[in-house]
Order: sequence, then structure tokens, then C-alpha cells
Amino acid sequence: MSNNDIKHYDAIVIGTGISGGWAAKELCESGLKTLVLERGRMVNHVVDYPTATMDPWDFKYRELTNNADSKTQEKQARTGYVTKETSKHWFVNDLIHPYNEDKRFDWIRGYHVGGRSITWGRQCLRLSDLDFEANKKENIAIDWPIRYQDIAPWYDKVEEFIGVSGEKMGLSHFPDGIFSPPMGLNCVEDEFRIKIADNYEDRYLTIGRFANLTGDKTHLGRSNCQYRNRCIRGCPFGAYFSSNSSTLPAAQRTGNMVMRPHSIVHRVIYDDTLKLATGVEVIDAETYEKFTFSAKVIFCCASTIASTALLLNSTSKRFPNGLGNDSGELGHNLMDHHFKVGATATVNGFDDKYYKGRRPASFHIPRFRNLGDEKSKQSFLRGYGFQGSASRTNWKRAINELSFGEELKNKLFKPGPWEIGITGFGECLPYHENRMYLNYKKLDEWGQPTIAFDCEFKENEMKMRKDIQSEAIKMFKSAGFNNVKGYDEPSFAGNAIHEMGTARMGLDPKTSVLNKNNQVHSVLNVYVTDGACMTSSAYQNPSLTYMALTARAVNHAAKQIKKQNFNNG
Amino acid sequence: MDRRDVLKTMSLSLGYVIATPSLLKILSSCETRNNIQWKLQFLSTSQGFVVAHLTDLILPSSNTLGAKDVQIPQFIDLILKDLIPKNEKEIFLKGSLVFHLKFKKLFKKDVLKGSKKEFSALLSAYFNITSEKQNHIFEFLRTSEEDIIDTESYYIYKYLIFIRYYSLFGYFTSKRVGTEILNYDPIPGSFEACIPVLEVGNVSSI
Repeated sequence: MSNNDIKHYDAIVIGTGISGGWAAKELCESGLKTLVLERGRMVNHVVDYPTATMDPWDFKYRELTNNADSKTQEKQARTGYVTKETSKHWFVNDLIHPYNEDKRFDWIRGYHVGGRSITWGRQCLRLSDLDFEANKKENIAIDWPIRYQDIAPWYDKVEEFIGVSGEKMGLSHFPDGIFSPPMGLNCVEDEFRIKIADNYEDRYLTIGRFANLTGDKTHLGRSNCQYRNRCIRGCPFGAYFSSNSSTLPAAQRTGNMVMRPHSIVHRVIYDDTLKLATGVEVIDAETYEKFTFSAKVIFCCASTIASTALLLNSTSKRFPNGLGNDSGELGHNLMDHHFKVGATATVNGFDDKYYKGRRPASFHIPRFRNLGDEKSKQSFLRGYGFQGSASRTNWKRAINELSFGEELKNKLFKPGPWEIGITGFGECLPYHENRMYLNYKKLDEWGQPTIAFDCEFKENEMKMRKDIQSEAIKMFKSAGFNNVKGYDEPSFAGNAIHEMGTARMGLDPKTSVLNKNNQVHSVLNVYVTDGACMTSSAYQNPSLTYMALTARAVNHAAKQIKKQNFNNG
Repeated sequence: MDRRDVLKTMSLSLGYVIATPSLLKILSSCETRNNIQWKLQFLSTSQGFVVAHLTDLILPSSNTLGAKDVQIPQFIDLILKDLIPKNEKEIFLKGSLVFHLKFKKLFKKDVLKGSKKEFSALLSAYFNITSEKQNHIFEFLRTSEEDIIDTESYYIYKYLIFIRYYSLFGYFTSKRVGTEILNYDPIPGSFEACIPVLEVGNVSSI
């Protein structure tokens, strides 16, 4: 029987990225028959990672982007790294998947099973009550409907399953999690750590918390990090967490999952008598055929932009402006982190030291601004953290000189001097006017409206960037490093690939789209658990929070189904 | 080069030998010591000839591999065809033209008749300068094309620095250098954060 023949399920999950994978796993493990819909192609773990073990010389252009590809990925190429030969197949063709920009917005994404969980940065940082309480205390936007204690057990559950390596710090605003052994700091990074500890009372350097396996805990079908640092290509060892390596196989093992790739969900069907959704309408991306699937509960995990686009497109008499959009906030409050600001330096000494292996992780300096005390208070709101690394230079150190001949060649065989760099990742406030919306005048290949962006960083972010740069310079100078240079490159919304906030959670249906359980306030059997739900952006890399909120929401949904609260069939 | 050597190289690289016009051209130009033994895709014969000489001077063969051992001229030809945006290609071609003219003026002959020594002399005139002057050159090259007054120096340096950059890039990302000279460790298995450099030796290739 093909999966088109079964029309009724207990649950439908839209999207297979970091949130969709978790929704699929948790729903299936709760015993619910679950249809998982993905708009892109199938990607099987290991066998569909074509570049995973290729070396630079195995690529025709030695990993560089060629002209023919760059024409099809002009917007994806704004990142500067994703469209290289090593990873271009994980990102969309911008000509087939166009979008519109009132202001520049870098919408970087891939359409395939696993989504961006294959290419994510793997940094796993918990939010704290400093983050959950900030909007309320500062009277910005609306309050989060949850606090740290609501999400903490779910952070535990997620970390235990995905495997996070890291070091415990005991900082209340940077909560510790369940960690496997931390990866090491090289000798220059360790020197910087010591100097920071000597020079500052308010800040610390630690290795980042990454979803790469270390230690001796068993994770089914996965092995420890081999330090190849080629995560973005997909890992044949399953050493980092992705939907493909972890959650989808777990869902598959239950026998409760039906996976349907090439399925573009364009509409959630709403029944005004029941006040519930009854299913979804799907276009087959390859055949253009239309299908309808029904379920008791629907999980929107298509991404911050795509889930909200789906809700905006799901209009009805009851919801003329999009499903669950009584508040008018759907599509608004779009946020991303701003970055690409910090400093670089060179470090003398340590010429007799090196490292072995390629660590797929950076070090981290947790937030130290606006922690609630007078001393850390700034002229801007919220804060930022630094991510960085030190390394010995290779042949590239000779780019900006004119030397040539045998001496140059022999010199470049040896490791060069040490250099170090850090970049800030800063919080962006939720602004109602930063938004996405649908353009019905410009349709895509499947007759669906295209998405338009009108979003920018504002005064608070710009003020914060000044502080980021000057603190980065000061920290390097006070550490005694040389050639300290600050930088502040243009940072456009979307470029950090941490977009969030377009269907925010809140206590009041008049000012928010989702309730404290990630349910659409007015359509309780529709849950949105990807980045769209975020009420503020915090400064932390957000994926861990999406996973925890998804697991928590599925737990809630499964209970509702048991209590027969979602009887829509 | 000996004709038999050329034939040997050709048959190795192509697997067979046929008397195509380009092959005949290579054979007939052996007297002028043509260093091009592959089919050019973007560069003209004289442009390829000069590029091959320059890459050989930048990364010469010695007791370790040189640019020509890892096919750097071919690599530069390929990326000019497929990778380099149109405007940069035009700058490269302008630079190539000016460089050829300089050569002709200086040595009173066509570049195709140039010797290694002559190309070395001309390259040294541009590259063997104080580090202060080098910095000045890099600063100068950041100016946009329209604002340039000394166009001759601009195009020549753009051209030479392009060749130097892609010689280094191609060389250090080549299989032979990456696996035979540099430290090649495809699956390290562990991360040792701080060890004596002597335990590792050369820089990592990947």
C-alpha cells in the first residue's frame, strides 16, 4: 500500500528539520500513527552524504563555487560558505524558490529530509530566566508565557538524547546541562582563558557546548566525533546530531511513522463547527498532484518562515488573515541574531606547540552585559556572547605578500604563527514592524504565494555592536596579543540563519499567536514548535530551545489526544 | 623538449595520440620550448606559455614538488574558464596583455621565445621590492578600477598577484602536496589540543 492510500492519521508533522524530527520521534514513541511531510527530497543517513569523505583535490574546483552554480544560488551565497562544492546540495536553488525583499533578508535554507539539521552549527546553549523575564521587566513586546523551570526538564531530555559535549560553569544566566566530556582548548585558547580570568571578574572563556558525541554513553547507530570537522556535509559516523542520524531513525523504529517526501503542505484545513483543524492539503512537488491528509493533531515544524507562511495562507471565513491570526501578530516580530563583529589578533610564542585533529567546535564567552546588577548595566538592552577560535596559520598567511621561489614553498610547508579571532552573537529585540508577508501577485512553480521580507536591525542592535567590537579589542589587548584589529562587517537579518519570532508565544490571544504549550490559541490541535514560537531571541543559538519546546509540546498533545480533546473525525 | 617526451606525456594524459591541430601545434613549437602540454580551455597559447613560466618561478620544482608537477597552469586555465567572474577575467586579460608588451619591449622578442631567465628577471622587477612597497601595492590594488591613474602597474600587479594566489591555492589543495608533503590525517579519531609541533611536523593539509 502506498502512503497516498492512507488518508487518516493520529498526527501530522510538517517539516523534518531539527523541530520536525523531534516531533516525529516523540509522537511516534507516544504510540501515535504519524505522517511526516517534507517538501524536499529524501536524504538517507550516510548513503546520501555525497561529499562526506571527499578531500579538496577530489573536487573539480577544489571546493570553490563555480559560475554556473553561483547563478542559481545568489541569495544562498550571501553566507559566503554554504554554496561551496562541499555543501551546495544542501541549499535551495534561488531561481526555483524565489522570495522578495523590501529590505535585504538572507533566507538561507535547504529542501530535503533533515532540513538544516544536517548543516546546523550544533551549538547547544540553554536560555535562562534572564531571557524569559526580560521582555516583561523591560516592557518590551510581550512576556514569555513560560519560565526556565517549565523548560528545564525538557532541555535535560533533549541533551541526553542528542549528546552535548561541554563544560559546566555554574552561571545562573548560562545554565548548565547534561554534558559529555568537553573538547579541549588549544594552548593559545587556554592562554586567552587564563588572561580573561586574570583581567576580568565578570567573564569567562569555556569550550562551546556542541551536539557532537564525546565520552562513553551509547547513542544507537552513532559513534563518537572523529575530529574531521566536516559536519556540514553530513557525518558518516553519525557523530553529530541531525534528524537523519537520530530522531527520524528513532521514529522509524516504532513502526508508527509514514514519511512522505516531495510534499508541499500549502494549507491547514479548519472546521469552524469543531473549532479544530482537520488536516492538511498537500501538493506533490514532482507530479503537482493534490492530496488531503487528516489527523487529530498537526505539528507545524516547517521553519520560522515556512510554518508562518503556511498559517498565513490557510485563510477561511473564520480566519480571513491566516489561521490563528486573531492578534494580527502572525508574520510579525521577525528576529535573527546579529554577528560579524569582533576582533582578530596574532599571538607570539607557542611556536613549538600544535594540535592534532580538527575540532568541530569554537570556544565561548558567555554573556556578561545587563545581567540585572548595576555594574553590568549598559546604554543598550540585552546582551551578546562571543564565539571564537585560535589556530596556527597555513599557506594563506602568504597571500598578502609578493614572495616567491623555493624559500617561500619550504616556509609554507610548516605551521605558521598563531592567530585568534572572536565574533559576537547579539540579541535582537522583537519589533512588530519587522515582518514577513505573502505576495499573491508573484506565485511560485506550484502556484503558491511567494514570501516577502521587511526586516532590519535597529538602534539597540547597532549600539550593542559598538560595545561588542570595543570589548573584543580590549580583551585581546589586555591579554597581550599583537596586531589587534577590530571589525564590524555589515550584518543583515537572516544571515545568522537563526530567524525566529513570527508566531510568538504569549499569555494573551490578543497579542500572541501561540499559548504556553505552543498551541495556536484559537485552534488548539495545531502546534507550532519551530523558531516561529520565540517571544524574544535571547543571544543563544536557538535550536536546543526548539527541540526542548517541541518535546514538551508533543507530551502535551499526546495527553490531549488521550483525553479525547481533539476529536475532529 | 624532446618530441618523444612530448608524445609520451600526451599519450599518458590522453590515453591515446591523435594528430589533432592542437597536437601538431605543440609539436611544431617544440623548437621554441613550448611548455604547454595540455589543451588550453581559456588561455591562448602565448598566455598559457607565460602563465606556465610564472607559476614555475613562483613554486619551482626542487627536491620537493613544484607548480608544474601538480598541474597548476592547467588549474589556472580551468578556473579562469569556469570560476572567475567576467569583470575579473577582463582585468586578468588586460594584465596579461600589458605584461606581454613589457616583455617584448624589454627583450625585443615575442613572449613565446622567452626563456626562464628572462621571465624571472621581469617577475623579480615587480616582486622583489621592500615590504613597505609591497604594502603600498596591496593598498593601491584596493582602489576601484575607474579611479586608477597608473593603469599599467594596476593591471600588471592584478595579473601577477592573481597567478601567485591561485598557484598557492592550487598547489596546497593538490593531492600530491596534500598527501605526500603536508600532514594528511583524514580521520584523526581524537583531538589533542596542545602537543609539541615536532610530533606533527608539517602543517595539516585538510
